[in-house]
Amino acid sequence: MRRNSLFRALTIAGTAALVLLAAGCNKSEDPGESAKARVTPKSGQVWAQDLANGLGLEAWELCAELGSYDCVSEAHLITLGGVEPTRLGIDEPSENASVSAPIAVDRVATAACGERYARDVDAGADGAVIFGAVLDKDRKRKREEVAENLVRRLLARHPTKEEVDGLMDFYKTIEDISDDPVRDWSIGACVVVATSTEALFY
Amino acid sequence: MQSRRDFIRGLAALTGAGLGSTLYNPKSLAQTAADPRFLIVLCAGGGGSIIDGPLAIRESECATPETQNVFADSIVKGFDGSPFRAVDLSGRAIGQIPSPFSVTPSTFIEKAREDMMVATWTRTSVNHQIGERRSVTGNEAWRGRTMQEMVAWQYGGEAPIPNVHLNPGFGFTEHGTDDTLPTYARGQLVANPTTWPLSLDGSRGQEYGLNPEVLAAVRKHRNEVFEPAGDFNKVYRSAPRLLEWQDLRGTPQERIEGLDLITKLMFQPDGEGGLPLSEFGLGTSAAGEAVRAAFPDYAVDPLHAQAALAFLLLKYGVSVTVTLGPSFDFVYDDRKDYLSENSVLNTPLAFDISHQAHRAGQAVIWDRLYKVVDGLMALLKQEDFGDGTSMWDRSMIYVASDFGREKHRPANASEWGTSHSLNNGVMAFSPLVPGDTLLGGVDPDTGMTYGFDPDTGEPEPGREMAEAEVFSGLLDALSIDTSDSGLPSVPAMRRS
Repeated sequence: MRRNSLFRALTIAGTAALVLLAAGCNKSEDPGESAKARVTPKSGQVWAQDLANGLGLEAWELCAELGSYDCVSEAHLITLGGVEPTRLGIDEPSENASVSAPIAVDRVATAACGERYARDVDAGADGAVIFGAVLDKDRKRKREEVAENLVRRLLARHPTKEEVDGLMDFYKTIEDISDDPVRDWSIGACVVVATSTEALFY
Repeated sequence: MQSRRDFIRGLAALTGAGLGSTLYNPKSLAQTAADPRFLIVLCAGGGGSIIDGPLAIRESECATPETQNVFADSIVKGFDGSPFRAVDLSGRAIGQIPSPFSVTPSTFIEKAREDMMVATWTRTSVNHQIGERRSVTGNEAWRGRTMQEMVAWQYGGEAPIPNVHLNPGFGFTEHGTDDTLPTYARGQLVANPTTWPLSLDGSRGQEYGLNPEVLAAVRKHRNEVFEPAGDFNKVYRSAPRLLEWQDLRGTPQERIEGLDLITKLMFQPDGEGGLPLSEFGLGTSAAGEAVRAAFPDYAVDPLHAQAALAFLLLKYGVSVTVTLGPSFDFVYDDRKDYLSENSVLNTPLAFDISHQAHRAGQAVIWDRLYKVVDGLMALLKQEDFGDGTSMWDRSMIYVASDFGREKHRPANASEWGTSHSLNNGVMAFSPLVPGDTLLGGVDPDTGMTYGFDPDTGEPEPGREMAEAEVFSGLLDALSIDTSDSGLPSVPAMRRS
């Protein structure tokens, strides 16, 4: 009798462990879909501050149109979901995304990532903030380091293997179409992460 | 959120269910997109008073001219066979602003009156924001949809950004309240006409830009590899805001960048006096010189900058409706000598300066609007649509106001302040409306306008035209399919 009880208890515990293990595995593969699925866009200025923090720049250093108009606080302020109550009477962000907002986002991110890359080139491999590894010697292992670094800095989390592998494979695509694949991959990978929906919404 | 594709797919189902309106028929919408009408809403914010514009009253016509808003006979100019008038006026100050002004609207009215219609109406609110909104919704007459939305819906199916609002912060540019409206028909806000074209290309004109092929590869990797791999997109894959964003990254983005709008819409000149475009690998619009000539104050006057961009948006097929107008900010032309004549370009509060300086304020702002209409008409007339017609032949400039102004004045005052009034009229310039035509009339003793027979257009003293009637009449002139809308029929506002 005791043996049967023990056997039953062990069976239940084992089954439970398997179920939990399976649930854990599922969770890591597919986190499931949110029942509410409600996300909110960051305002342009919040997104830009996150971007500046990630790239080690000041917000005002990210992007200036024609060298004069700050992209985030001036040129694309309203397009990026900002408000300007004093002069324009816009005291609430637009209900829907502006039709040109994704383009403006790409534009700001390209400028910001380009600025970071240029500074890293000037600083050299040892003084670079993000792209030093690929500047030193362009090897796959170095690109992996940069890819991981981009996700950590711009999305404030650890990257998944799939994301890193994808960014590394992306180099092959760039090699075929670029005269300067190290530069274009570096800036391009940065833009990929910086303009992902995870960076733009919360 | 409905993408254009989703919307068209939905329409197909509705058509199958028997809804016959053009608005719900994909084939009809494709046809109307190829044969569009263009609507320009020019906002007379602050209360553009029609009896200080084309319906001015001579003092000799009024029983009590000393206390009514009337003008000396000598300065009211009429035109042969025309119901319209113009008051060429000058003064030493605009209320408390010691800046002389001189306006000659008679030149414009003489030139434009063949394509000019005035229709009287009685409004339902003297609150600015509400009056402005009702001027474009007919007091929510058709499910709260705005005129601009209806034009964009019916004619803008193929346009990258069909409905553009250039004067934010007014009721004229609020969204309508119909959630079933296709997303593409909703107004897009443009806060700065000078820098906005720079947001229409992802990389060009940047010091560290990527070439188009590389940028396309970056976007493709992000959209198809990086994002799908992350948990964020898995968890929130059906979030409406994400779906909207992902839709905008598709066809709308391709259309916008494919048209080279960063160049075509750049009305500012390159180099000295303009922007350093060539330094950044950019250029000015091929039509830039023409629009700068039509709106010469583009560098100092936001309204001229709006008008320049508005024309280019229509010319290049980006939009089918644009909304523009003076802001409530004081705009001063500092290129001129200090406080010299006409150095005030926009009075504080635009028409609403009438609270302090009715006569001068109305004169200055009406003249300001007439000049913008003049420039747009001239440019659109020169623009060949491609089928033997000009763009003007398909266009309407609707001068929308929030309300009118009180009709009285202190005895024999040459300047005074007025409050808001429900009674007023609207102006429309277009080959689509009966030209040189006044629908309704004005009682010269009271300054109050009266209505007209909606079918024949005959004046009917004692009748008041509702906002829904004028809204319906203007939409009809634009050939918007209003079947099943329940709107009143006002064929008198359509040119036969």
